[in-house]
Amino acid sequence: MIDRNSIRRVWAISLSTFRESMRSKVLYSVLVFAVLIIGASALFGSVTIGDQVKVIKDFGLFALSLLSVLYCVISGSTLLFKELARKTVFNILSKPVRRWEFLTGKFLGIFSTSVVLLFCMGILFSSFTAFFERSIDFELFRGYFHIALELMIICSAVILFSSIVVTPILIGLFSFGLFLAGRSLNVLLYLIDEGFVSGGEAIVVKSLYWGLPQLHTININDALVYQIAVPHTQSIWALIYAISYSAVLLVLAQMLFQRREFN
Amino acid sequence: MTAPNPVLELKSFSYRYKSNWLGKSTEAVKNVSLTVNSGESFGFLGHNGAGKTTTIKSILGLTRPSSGEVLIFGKPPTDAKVRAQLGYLPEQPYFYDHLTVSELLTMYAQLAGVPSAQLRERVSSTLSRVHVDHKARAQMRALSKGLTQRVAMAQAIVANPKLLILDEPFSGLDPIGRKEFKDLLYEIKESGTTIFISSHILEDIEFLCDRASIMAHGELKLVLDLSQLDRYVERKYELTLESEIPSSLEIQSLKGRVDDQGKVTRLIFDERDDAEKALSKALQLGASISQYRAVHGNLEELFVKVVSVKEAT
Repeated sequence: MIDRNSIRRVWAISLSTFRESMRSKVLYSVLVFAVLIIGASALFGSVTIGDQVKVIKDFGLFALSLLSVLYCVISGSTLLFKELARKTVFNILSKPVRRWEFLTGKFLGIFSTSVVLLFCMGILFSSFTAFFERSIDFELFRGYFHIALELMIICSAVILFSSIVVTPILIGLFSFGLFLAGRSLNVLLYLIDEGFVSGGEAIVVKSLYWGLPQLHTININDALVYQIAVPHTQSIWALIYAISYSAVLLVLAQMLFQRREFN
Repeated sequence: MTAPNPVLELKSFSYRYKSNWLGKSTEAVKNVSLTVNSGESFGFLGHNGAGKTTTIKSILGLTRPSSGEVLIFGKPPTDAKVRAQLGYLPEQPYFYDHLTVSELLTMYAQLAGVPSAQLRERVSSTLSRVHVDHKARAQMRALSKGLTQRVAMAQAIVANPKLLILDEPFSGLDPIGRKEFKDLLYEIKESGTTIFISSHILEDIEFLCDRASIMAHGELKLVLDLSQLDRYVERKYELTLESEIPSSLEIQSLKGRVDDQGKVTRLIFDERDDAEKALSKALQLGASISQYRAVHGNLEELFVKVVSVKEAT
């Protein structure tokens, strides 16, 4: 049951998780790495035939997306693993905290830190591209919004895997694997459309296609780079889809976490 | 006389650990039944691996009993509302490294249900109670083990719980810290809070608790009223001389034993008659006697006796 106190407890857990993550060295290491990669994108642009800005945007958006997902996976999996290994979770769950409140608080804390990182990298990248284009490309901010939606799904996946698996490496591998699979779903679609799979195999491939997160449709990096118009309804649907998919993962995580014995 | 009001009840509580995927399991706690009443201080003792922490985890709702029941204020601890009346200090506490002491305690106070309007004042007064107010702005990773233990106590008491569960509360504390904790716990006990302590420092249990239980190898061996410790451990008689034992005292024939030799010599006797014979003989020989007294048996002796009996069988 959700009441005012539940919201207060979720807020307390998410704020502490946010503060803890914001003060960790991992965040700043990723930010420094992002600066280097964004800088390197100019180098790639200058040695490539064609539109230099397009190459910078293509490479930069890819780097932003990858780094923020990597940060989310690494920090999320180690944070929750440490919580269990160091038994800080015992102290929290001995208070009148429901297990779903704990997981939701953790999710919001990790997600918000990842979004702040993405936002900082986005500001840097937009300034960098503005230097080459002599104007700010506000469409890039829509791209960041779509990357944030991907992060929402991956962050929920980290929470789900953390409630099943006990080692941070496996949590990380599963979560990052889901990101790669979600981004590559058009390959599955190609297999079905071109008739490479049929019968039982086709059913399995179709189930995978619909079961895995549709990150390839959420992501609009290519459209932004090649200046293809993305209707606003696509952003709204992507938002609804990301929220729904994350909610399903979090409910599954909560069902598994509820049964967990902390022995 | 009012009927005792049970705060914590273990009814035929057992817990089995699942050891592997084949379903093999180990019984860590076997059929434990005990009741802790309102306002009582209860010592929960046992050797390492006796099943104390396993039991505490079930009391906190972190694990579910394999059989039997755990009730707090008449309800299972899986009910979050019940846990609002509970404070817990874990053994070897760890906290979030990058949060400050004040931020951490504010979070725990919010989780424990301290109203927003009282939050700031409650955090500040609790930090003063455990003497870490001067470190309110320090990050947790900068604290020593003793200070971390004080913060652990602060988070346990911040919401003024009706039942306080302490797992090795004196761990990592220096003698001053230990004394301050004892005073604080005494004050909390006087305010009517029920205290359930698991500790290996039996002297402190004897000082703080009304009753105690002893667990050995997953079984509850004994529950006793500490005011009646003499019933379980025999009294001894101690004669202290300010010099070496005169050879003519013939201590062996008087069934005594020498416990300590330094500036003084302590002679211990199991029987009063033997002690008094030695005393009169020592007086006759002109030995300088600094003390003669009856020594009450302590909890440590009883603990060793109970646990050793189990190990011998």
